Amino acid sequence: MIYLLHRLAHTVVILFGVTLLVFILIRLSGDPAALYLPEGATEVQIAALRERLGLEQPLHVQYGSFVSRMVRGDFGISLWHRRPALDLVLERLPATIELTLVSLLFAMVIAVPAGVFSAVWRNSAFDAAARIVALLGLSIPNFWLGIMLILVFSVNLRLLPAFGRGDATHLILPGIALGSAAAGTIMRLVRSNVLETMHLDYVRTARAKGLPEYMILSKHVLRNSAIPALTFTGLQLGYLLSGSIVTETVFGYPGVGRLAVQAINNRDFAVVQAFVAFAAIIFALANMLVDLLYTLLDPRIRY
Amino acid sequence: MHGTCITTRRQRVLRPTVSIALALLLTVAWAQREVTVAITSDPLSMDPHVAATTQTVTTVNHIFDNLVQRHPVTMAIVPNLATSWEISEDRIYVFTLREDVRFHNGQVLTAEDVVFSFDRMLQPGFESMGNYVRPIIESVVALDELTVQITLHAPYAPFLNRLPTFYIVPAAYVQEVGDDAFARAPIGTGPFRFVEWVHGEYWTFEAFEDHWAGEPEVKRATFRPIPEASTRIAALLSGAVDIIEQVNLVDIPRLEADPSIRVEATNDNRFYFYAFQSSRPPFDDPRVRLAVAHAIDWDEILWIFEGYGFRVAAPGLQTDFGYSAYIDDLEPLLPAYDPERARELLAEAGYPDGLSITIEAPRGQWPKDAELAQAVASELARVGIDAEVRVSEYAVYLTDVYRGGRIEHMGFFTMGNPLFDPDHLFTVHFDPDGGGAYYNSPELTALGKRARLVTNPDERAAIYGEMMRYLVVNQPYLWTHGLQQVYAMRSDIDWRPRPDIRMFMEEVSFRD
Repeated sequence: MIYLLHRLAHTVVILFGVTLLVFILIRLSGDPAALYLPEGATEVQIAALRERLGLEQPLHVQYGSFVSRMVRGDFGISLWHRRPALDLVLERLPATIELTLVSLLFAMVIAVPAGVFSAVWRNSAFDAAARIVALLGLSIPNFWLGIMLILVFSVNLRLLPAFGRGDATHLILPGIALGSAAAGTIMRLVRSNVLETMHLDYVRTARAKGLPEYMILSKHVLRNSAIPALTFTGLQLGYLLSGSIVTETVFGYPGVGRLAVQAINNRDFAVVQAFVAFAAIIFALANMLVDLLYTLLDPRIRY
Repeated sequence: MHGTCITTRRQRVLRPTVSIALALLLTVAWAQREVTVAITSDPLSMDPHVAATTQTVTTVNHIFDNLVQRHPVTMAIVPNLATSWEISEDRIYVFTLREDVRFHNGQVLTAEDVVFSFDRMLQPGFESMGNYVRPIIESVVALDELTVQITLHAPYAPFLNRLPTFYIVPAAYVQEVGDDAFARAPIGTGPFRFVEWVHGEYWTFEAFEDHWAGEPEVKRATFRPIPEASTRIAALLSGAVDIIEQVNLVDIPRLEADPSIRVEATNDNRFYFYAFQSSRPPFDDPRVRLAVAHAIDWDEILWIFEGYGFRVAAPGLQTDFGYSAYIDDLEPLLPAYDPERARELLAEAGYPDGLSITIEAPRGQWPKDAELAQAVASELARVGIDAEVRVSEYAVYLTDVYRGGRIEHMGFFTMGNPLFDPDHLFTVHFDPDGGGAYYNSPELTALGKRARLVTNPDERAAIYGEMMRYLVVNQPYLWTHGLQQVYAMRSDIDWRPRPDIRMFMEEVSFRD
């Protein structure tokens, strides 16, 4: 319990650190008033809008009022959308969570069995093929993979929708594009962990006791090699969230990633800040969840 | 037998069958009178007085009408909700409204709705729409049910050109439901009625059967935001959408090879240029600016736009007011490619051994922006001008570099002319009271201000002829090129893109 409270306190500190950093960084480049007003706006008009937005105040005053509003759950009004930034982010968040979970599921479903069997059949043709595919998944940029998937499955085969959100078929292509890098990494991680565990004494003992190979694998090897993979997967959730920025843009998918890209381009401060705060919260929560899962997998771990 | 019609048994069976089949076919054809359009982003609002991004205007255009509109090809001002208007004392505009125009809720349009709409968009807070005209308009009053009088503080000749982005909203409805609810469920007099908007996913309109100009051929129009150009193309090729905008140059051959797709292009109302930093050496000397203009062989550069770029040597486009009146006289004055002349001018200006400058540009904001800067730099090297290219992200470039006159020597920029009138060029770039940061001169200011006061079109055109001559001779900017806007669509759709790059679905028809 104390551990949990500690972690929560950490999360709050991290959240403040991250929002402060973003608050300052985004204000270092680009003036939202100039970007918002049409090309022909005069300096006087720009100055008037800056004044109205409170951008003329000293940075620490702006940050102070931002924090005091943030703790009350108010991230300010989006300059471009003229709606509360929090509403915009919350409205788009389910779509992104959906996509992130699908891509994670895709990664796990492909990567875990592939990793295990690669290790079991080490140096076989399967192992070689799986490792090459994993390396490809890791190294192909997800925007390129996204475009290729669209060309093959939407344009040529006309099997799956090319863009947007709707029924479950809309999640397949972006899910694969987003999850492929994670799949590659998870597969390599599972493979090396399983290999390592398979040579440990207790596994040899289990084998000596005459346990069938599938029992050894499922009861002893998998469970013990799962911890590093789980840690990685928890972290991966955060990376997938940031990867969704690119994937959502390619697939015209209406999630927070695309909202964030537009907001950054427009220097729509309120939306960028709300997005970053949420990303930080999700990242921190995912890590906490992973830590809690450890106790289930390894009874020796207690908090 | 006379006048009697004998029907056989077969006919009796066939007739209903044929009519049912015909009705079915018609229903199918009717159902197909739907278009889905992929554009780059969502509108900012369905409230037509809130924002003026291209996507917003393209969207609200369908729901709302304005007093006057632009002709789809010539861009000249033509009647819309106002059937006629009279101008007196150069500053009093009396508009006669069309009779029996209905809003989507059945209410009849009156002069009060027009007055309410103007009052609303002139309020502070409606920055983008009201900005230009707030200082110009003195009053808007209803003279009777169908007559509106707009009085300006002073004569402002391009006033009518401002009106196509001023939409008329129903006074009673807006007052009843409030601004927020109005933006969520907008009602106008436009050819389409609003159905729904799922943010980030799509927005849909359906044909308004009681529109004063008749019901549009398109019965249902859906717009989808797809920011990525290659995904827009994939969506078109896969049949998910019917019309797409902003086609990338590299994709055109692939689309043209597909018989089910048609590619259409139009010159738009935008040109590109480099602003010279003329407040200090070396570009405070017009001879150095002209030397740069003579040093560049545009025939050699414009191929980077793969046939969709065209040279703009003076800051006017064919659809601008007055263009045809001055362009013939201007042609001989335009600086031609002449590296010898460029070197002479540099020597005369005191740079016989050449000079070093910087060229600044954003990357990825406009087609080939950074590449063009490199190409210009290599042309300048041939006459002894050593140009270093500096490229930055657009937001940084716009606010930290270009705005406020912080270009070091030459900086790339663009100007769209929503007014289709040289007054916009003057206001935004050369009016010392406006946005002009890089160049102004008393002579130019006098010309620009005089043109605003003269409502006689011939006299105004003559003044703009003088202004163009001044700009070409003094070359405060290096005007570079214009680009065609490229669209692609299903080949059975008949639609011509417009120079104002708006998309009106009531202009779409189907090839049967």
